[in-house]
Amino acid sequence: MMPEKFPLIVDIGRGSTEDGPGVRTTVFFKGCPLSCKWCQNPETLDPQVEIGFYPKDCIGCFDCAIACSEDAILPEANVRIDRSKCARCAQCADICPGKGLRRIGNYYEVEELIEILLRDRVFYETSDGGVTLSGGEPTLWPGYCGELLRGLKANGIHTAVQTCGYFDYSAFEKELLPWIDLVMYDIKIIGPEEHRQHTGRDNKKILENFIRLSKENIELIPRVPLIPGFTTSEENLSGISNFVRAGGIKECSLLHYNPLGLSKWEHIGKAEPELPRCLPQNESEQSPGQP
Amino acid sequence: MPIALDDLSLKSVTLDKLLRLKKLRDVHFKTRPAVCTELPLLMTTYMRRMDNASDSQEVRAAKRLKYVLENKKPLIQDDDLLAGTTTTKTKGMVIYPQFMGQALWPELETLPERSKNPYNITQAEIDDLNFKVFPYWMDGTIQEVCRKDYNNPTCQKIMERLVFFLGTKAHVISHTVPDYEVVIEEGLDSIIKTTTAKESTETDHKKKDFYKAVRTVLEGVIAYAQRLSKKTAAMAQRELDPVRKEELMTISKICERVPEKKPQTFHEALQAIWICHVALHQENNNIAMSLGRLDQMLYRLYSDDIKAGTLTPEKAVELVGCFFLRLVDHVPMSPETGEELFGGSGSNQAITIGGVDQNGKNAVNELTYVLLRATELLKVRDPNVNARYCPDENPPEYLVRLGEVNITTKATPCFHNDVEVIKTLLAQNYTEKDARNYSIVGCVEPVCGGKTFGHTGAIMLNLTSALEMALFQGRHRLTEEEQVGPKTAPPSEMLNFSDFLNAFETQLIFLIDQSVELNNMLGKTHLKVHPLPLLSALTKGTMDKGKDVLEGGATYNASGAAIIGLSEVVDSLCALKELVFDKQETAFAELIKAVENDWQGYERLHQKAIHSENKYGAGSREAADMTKYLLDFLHTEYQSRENYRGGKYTVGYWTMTTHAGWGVLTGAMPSGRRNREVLPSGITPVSRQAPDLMESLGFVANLDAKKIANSHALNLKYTPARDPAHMIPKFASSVEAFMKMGGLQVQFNLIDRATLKDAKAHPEKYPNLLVRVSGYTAYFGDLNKYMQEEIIIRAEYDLDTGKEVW
Amino acid sequence: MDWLLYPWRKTRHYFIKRSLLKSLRDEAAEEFLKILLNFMTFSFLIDRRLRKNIEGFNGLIQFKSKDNEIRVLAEFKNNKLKQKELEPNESLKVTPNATVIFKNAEALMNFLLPRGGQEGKKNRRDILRSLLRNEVILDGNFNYIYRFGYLANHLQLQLAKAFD
Ligand code: SF4
Ligand code: SF4
Repeated sequence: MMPEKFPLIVDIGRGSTEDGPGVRTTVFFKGCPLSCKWCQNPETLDPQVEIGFYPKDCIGCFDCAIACSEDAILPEANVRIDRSKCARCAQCADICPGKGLRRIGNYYEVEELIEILLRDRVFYETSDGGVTLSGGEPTLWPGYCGELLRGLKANGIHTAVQTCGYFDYSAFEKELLPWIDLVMYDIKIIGPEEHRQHTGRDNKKILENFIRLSKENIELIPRVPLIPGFTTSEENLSGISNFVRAGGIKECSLLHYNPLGLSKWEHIGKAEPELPRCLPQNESEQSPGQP
Repeated sequence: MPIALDDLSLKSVTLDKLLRLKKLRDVHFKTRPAVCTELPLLMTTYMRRMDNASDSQEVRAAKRLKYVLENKKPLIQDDDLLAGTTTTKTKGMVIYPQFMGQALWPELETLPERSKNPYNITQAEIDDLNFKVFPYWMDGTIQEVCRKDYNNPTCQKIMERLVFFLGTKAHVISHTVPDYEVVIEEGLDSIIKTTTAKESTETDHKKKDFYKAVRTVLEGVIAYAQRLSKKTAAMAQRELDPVRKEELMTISKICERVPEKKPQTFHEALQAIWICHVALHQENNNIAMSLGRLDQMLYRLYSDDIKAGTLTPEKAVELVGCFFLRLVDHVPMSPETGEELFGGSGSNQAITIGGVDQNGKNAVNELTYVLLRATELLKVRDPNVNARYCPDENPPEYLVRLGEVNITTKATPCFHNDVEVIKTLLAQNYTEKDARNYSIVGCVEPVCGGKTFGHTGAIMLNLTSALEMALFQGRHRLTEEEQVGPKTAPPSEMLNFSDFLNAFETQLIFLIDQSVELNNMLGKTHLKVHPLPLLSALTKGTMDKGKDVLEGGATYNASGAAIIGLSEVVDSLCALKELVFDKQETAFAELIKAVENDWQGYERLHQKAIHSENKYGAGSREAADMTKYLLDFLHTEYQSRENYRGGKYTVGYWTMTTHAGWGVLTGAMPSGRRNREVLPSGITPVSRQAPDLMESLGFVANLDAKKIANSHALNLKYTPARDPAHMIPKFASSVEAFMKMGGLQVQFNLIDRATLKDAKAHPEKYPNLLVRVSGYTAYFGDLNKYMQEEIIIRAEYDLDTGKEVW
Repeated sequence: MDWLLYPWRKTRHYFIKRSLLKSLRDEAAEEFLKILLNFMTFSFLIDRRLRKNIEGFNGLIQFKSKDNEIRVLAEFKNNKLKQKELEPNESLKVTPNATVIFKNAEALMNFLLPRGGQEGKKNRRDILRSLLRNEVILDGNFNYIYRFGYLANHLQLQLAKAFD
């Protein structure tokens, strides 16, 4: 997939203590090379602008219909946009008074973003926290992210990157690596075929990149999302564990699965992927696993 | 003495070991408060039979108080280690006939039937008040004398419409920290010596009378202590239990010595303060009479006793616990609607711990931790515990401990940033030493304890009223067609936002002027009707000047205004500017119609107002500028006005429960607010308008503290974590960061919304649930439904995600 | 036993009581103020215990509607209560100690009988609340009104007991 020229950002999450050490601000990039069936943040898959519809916030004024030049607005209760006609111009979202329609994905100049991230500097300092780039997949934009991370490092901010591992190592090494303190690296499925089947890509590159990264002088934490029916088999977990250990890494963090993410598909007009029916009901309240 | 505690949390000291405290605490929670008529009866009897009208007012007041103290029943509660009680009841409502005691008159017979906060009262007590007390004072209350003397002034009439501002002086002036240091370091006899000497050499009649009055009341206090001593001695004689007998004998000996003489032990010091506190409450209303820096004042005796082996930390927790449980032996008077709209408060007596000493060095000591342990064990609403914290000077384990106590008590102590508070006080012309020695009055207000007479709660101004009057040309929707303020331009004539701001400023200045004028009239009336010789005796500066505190006798003089509805008004001004002028989404007249109709039929506009990006606490430059403008304006205007004692007015942003009460009286606003919604508390953002914790903390921290000289209350809720140990460091680092960014004050409720909702629906499941209101702590079940609702909807943040939880 | 000496008063008192209750029940409140004051006047006349409440109480309280249509003076003097209706524009020789300006009849009823007539406890009002709701405006010495409030409340309680 060809990334957009400019990265779009879905959200800047300030004050999280779940995305690395201390208090952190997390930048969620839009666009991801994988398409995991269990994806909890489907709005971060597509690198282009998307328009989300949130029926609860719609007051039914149909200002959006007037704003749309593509005749893509539908009068239904739960669907507002005919995605086949929509050109993603976001005119409708800009005019919507109730935020029933929302633009997903905004572009920030690097300096602008750094300025925003530095606002929380005192919080990073008092908690030994910092900034985390996440997504989607931040490594899709090595140039942009490199500049961003360098700027943060110049201000003495601790930096972390969350990645799915599917990236071009040389660009990563050149642009990003020098400015990163910590990489949180997802390893989902160890078997190549299952990996392709459930995430849309082969895992060869991911595993290779991991091995190379483990030799760098950098903190590396592998993370395994626990998705019942996909990643939680004994076989998979022990396979990952063996692989990681072979790379000389002793710690691994387990991410509990939050089925609440599922409902998000609807908002952006995508069909929810079929998932096995064995999802646990109470996992939603769990915080991510500790190493 | 370095801190020698193995465990700063003193976990081994528990209520199961301190059975006395457990028992006294149970009594406190089980006792329904009752009206006490002792004070008003004694006062009335004195005035009818003994008062000599040819004496000066000061001397009359002194003799009257002395009579009260000489005739007040000397009592000690069973098992207690401290003698003396504010009233004759276990938990007594004090009636002050010269203040607004009569407000209770209509409901005397139905007090026990109140649905919220009922009080016991006997038929004999009803008759006493109805036949003897209240009729005597009908023309003699401060409120009515003021009305008469100033010929029914406009400012008083406006205040009595209740929605614009409150001038509290007719009811209460306490809001101060008396000089208990002199009680501990010298004893009352040293003041008596000074005042007697001055009395004999002074030639100015007025001053001479003042000195005489001071001497008279102090003699009264000592007489009360002596009677406590006799009483406890007599009780000891009859006591069969040898342990209690011994205790009573000790107490008797202590009361014989203090507060007349300088206390020699920790126990004596606490007893000395308590007797003075009881005496002060016979002169001053029992609202927000605060105690100062207990961990500093009492430390010398504490460490002496520890060194001598006569005291242990555990024993100290017990004594402090007895002291705390004494502080809850009285409740303020409040009529039923007052209770329903503004009430649920305890007496709100603040204590201050931690921070730096007069040289700017860490002042946290062992006693600080003893006080914290007592707070944690008792979880009572009084005292209101205020922790001073100086980043980089106070040790990190102190902050961690404060976090821990907050998590266990769910609501206390609150936090004050030494760096900012001291800066603020220096800007108010305090000396560096005095500024560093600040302590907290009432809710959050910093003063130099014992030196400032700062009636910090003199004025409560409803800022939304000024906005309302600017929208409706000087009228208010509640008072309908009446022209309350000056007639400013109608919306049709406002061509740009500054036209509107002009109108807003005109109305605001009008309200400020009225509130100040009333406060000054009430202050002068207070001096005329009810001078305060005892409070003057316990305030520094008065002896040199020979003047009552009400005349400017204190070293520092100020009056405090508290502003209600700041964030709401910022959001409304921003929305109005954006929708009407900047983006021209609507005509001004339309917007006014929309708020008049509570947004009914104006859905689109309503959504635009709600979703405006210019919201207080949400990272908007526009809102930040608007807030700065308001802070500057209010500070400059109030500071430029002088009070009746030659002091300045300071401005603060804390609301007690008025934001709930006033919210109910306030209509829809341009911000998107709807009719009757509660207003945000203190300086807190409007709920759901500031989704990021860091952003809202940063927003408030960036406000210029020097413009907030009467301090503020930033009220936040954090979702409690399942594992407190996991939460403490996060909690502590959020406070530390807030302070490092320049935050002045912050306080928390560590209860989630679901629990609070459940507590509202099933009060019986949550007896004595402690919550922070806006400044003070209260029991959730005592609060009116509006206040409960406000605490429920108040912004709650999850420390894991940093997001507002909804 | 006062009433034995004044049987006619007692009888009249009874009828006033009845009409007061009726006016509460029907919320025919225009007449309510006059009836209430009537009731109070007679209650003081016949009940010595009650009279004690106004011994030595000298005060003049004016009640008027916002539109000035209803104006009634209640005068406490010589241990008696007297009432007088005033013309809308009639001037007063003596300034009353306190004036109660009410928005409408219902507001006045809420104000004077905070126990809410038939609604009982549920809808309790008191003076402060009436002020807060802007249903009444007080001008003058509040303590006179508090005292009047006590008397009104007290009588209402007695009444409730008598007819329970
Ligand atoms: S403009 Fe927004 S609120 Fe109006 S109909 Fe469209 S989605 Fe709904
Ligand atoms: S994004 Fe543009 S094309 Fe798509 S629905 Fe909205 S206005 Fe129409």
